[in-house]
Amino acid sequence: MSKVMELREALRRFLKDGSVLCLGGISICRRPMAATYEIIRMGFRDLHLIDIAPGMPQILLALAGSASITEACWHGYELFGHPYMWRNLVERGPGETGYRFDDLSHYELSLRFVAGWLGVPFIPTYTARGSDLYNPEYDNLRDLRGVRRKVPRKKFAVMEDPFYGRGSVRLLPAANPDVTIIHAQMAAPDGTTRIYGAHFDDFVHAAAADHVIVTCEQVVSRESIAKDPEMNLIPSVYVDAVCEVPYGAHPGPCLGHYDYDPWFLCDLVERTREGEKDPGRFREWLEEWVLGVRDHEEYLEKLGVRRLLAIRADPTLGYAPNLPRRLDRLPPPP
Amino acid sequence: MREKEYAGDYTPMEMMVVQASRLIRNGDVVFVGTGLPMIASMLAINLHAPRAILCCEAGFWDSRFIHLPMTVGDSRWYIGSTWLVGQSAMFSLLQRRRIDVGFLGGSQVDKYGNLNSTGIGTRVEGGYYVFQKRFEGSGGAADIASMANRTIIMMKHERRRFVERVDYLTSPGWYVWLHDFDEGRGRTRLVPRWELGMWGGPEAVVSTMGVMGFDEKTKEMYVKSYYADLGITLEEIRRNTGFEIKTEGAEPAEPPTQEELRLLREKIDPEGIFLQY
Repeated sequence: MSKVMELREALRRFLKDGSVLCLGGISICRRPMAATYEIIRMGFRDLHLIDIAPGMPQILLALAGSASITEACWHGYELFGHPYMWRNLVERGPGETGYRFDDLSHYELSLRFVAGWLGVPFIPTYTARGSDLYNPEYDNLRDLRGVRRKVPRKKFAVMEDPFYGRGSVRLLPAANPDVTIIHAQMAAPDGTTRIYGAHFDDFVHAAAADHVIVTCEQVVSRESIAKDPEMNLIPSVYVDAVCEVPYGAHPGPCLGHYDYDPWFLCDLVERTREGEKDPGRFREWLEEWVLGVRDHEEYLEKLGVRRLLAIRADPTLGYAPNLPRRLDRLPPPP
Repeated sequence: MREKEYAGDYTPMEMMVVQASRLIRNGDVVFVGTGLPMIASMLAINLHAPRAILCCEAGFWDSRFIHLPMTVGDSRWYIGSTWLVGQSAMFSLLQRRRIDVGFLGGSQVDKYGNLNSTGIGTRVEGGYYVFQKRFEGSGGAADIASMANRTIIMMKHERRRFVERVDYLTSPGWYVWLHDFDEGRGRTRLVPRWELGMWGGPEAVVSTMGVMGFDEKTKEMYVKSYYADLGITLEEIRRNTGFEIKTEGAEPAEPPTQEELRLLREKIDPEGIFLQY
């Protein structure tokens, strides 16, 4: 059975207002950006984001008003700049903005997805003891606990090790997103997914979710993907939709295909920096690159062939070795 | 033995990297993000610690990259890595005590080495916690601080950053404020990390002015060495520290050698991506 469909159709089928959504990749790398733009375009609301290592797509979904809850450990663009505007949103607080951000650590989130993958309700850990992440006063989902779907009744629990007597452990609730969206280099029509390079726990993200949408650089045949099956990360059983979306992680890198688009990233970060004083600057960006663009094809046309060639990966290295990386001295965009 | 040749012209950032690099021991498994800790680790691997292993939270193990990665998930890490794994497996090395040293940074540090990389002016308002100024957040910092066998903190040395008590305790140091779960909201008391069953702890703070250690008995921060060669005085360090800091016995820091600077500028970060020449 072929699961190949248009991205819009996949989102229409599996994502709803209020869904718990996880996005694969890490920070600004191999993130399902085309899907993120499409979610904003389609006008989804009240999304509950949960991610191990969030960044660019989660910031955009928050700034565009698509997300109302984020459980995460970090938001930013690393060397490309601070999470401008998003930080203002968090500073103003849920009481004023309706957007809730709840802090966890990287490993706490990893473990919550592992529990979700294993199909158990919680998982113990030693991590982050002594951190304010466990301060009972700091819980921005407190009034949703036991009320909203898929928000665990408690942020964590504490128990003594009943087996070896090794002191107290924290128990963390499993995370089972309604939908996980992953961008991969290739997938077969049945959903079998192959990721080259670091997979950033995307198997766990997929296996913990109720539904999985895979966007990929290329849809390949079953015969083709069954060559070297140990290279395949996600089996068909977890995957509901396969969408061919070349450059679907732009402006982030996708190993073997393209590198960062430093011009695009710097422009986006600069617009949000300016947006802290004049939110219109970011709305213009959103209109220009997301809302005013029909689909991903038009987005790529707008970027232009020269830009796409400039970030094209060297086939043996997997990235663009001559990419300008001194961000304070970027040449004009091609 | 030939006298070491010291470099005459270098930046405070280069000095920090060199000081941090010298704290890495041969054979250490080092958990880093990108930025200065990555540069410092590469310098150590190129000099006195060739058997050190560099790993990063995104899942790259012992990478011998040929171009400097810009972010944790950068494709440049891929080349020359001997293992690639998901984040849950990578962070589990911390919980199994296999990470010898982790690097941390933050916007605030206190005398026990507690760090804040979440936000300042933290308060509870209308049932929610909010900030006067919000930062990126913990990422893996709370995990590294609580479970690496030792940690090295790299910080800009300013009075507003070296504070009596952090506004939000992201990453635990030697003494932490414990929140009593059963005794009502807001009750906190200062407890040593070992009483919570925690191992590890901060070994040093490498700042833009000097290198700080933690007293073996009191676990309070003190000045070990200061960048005299860059014109930094102990008085200046005291003035830029928001808590009482001991400076007795502090020595001028050993400046970078010509070899260290050559490696940084010509081999490790020739484009100045992080060192910004």
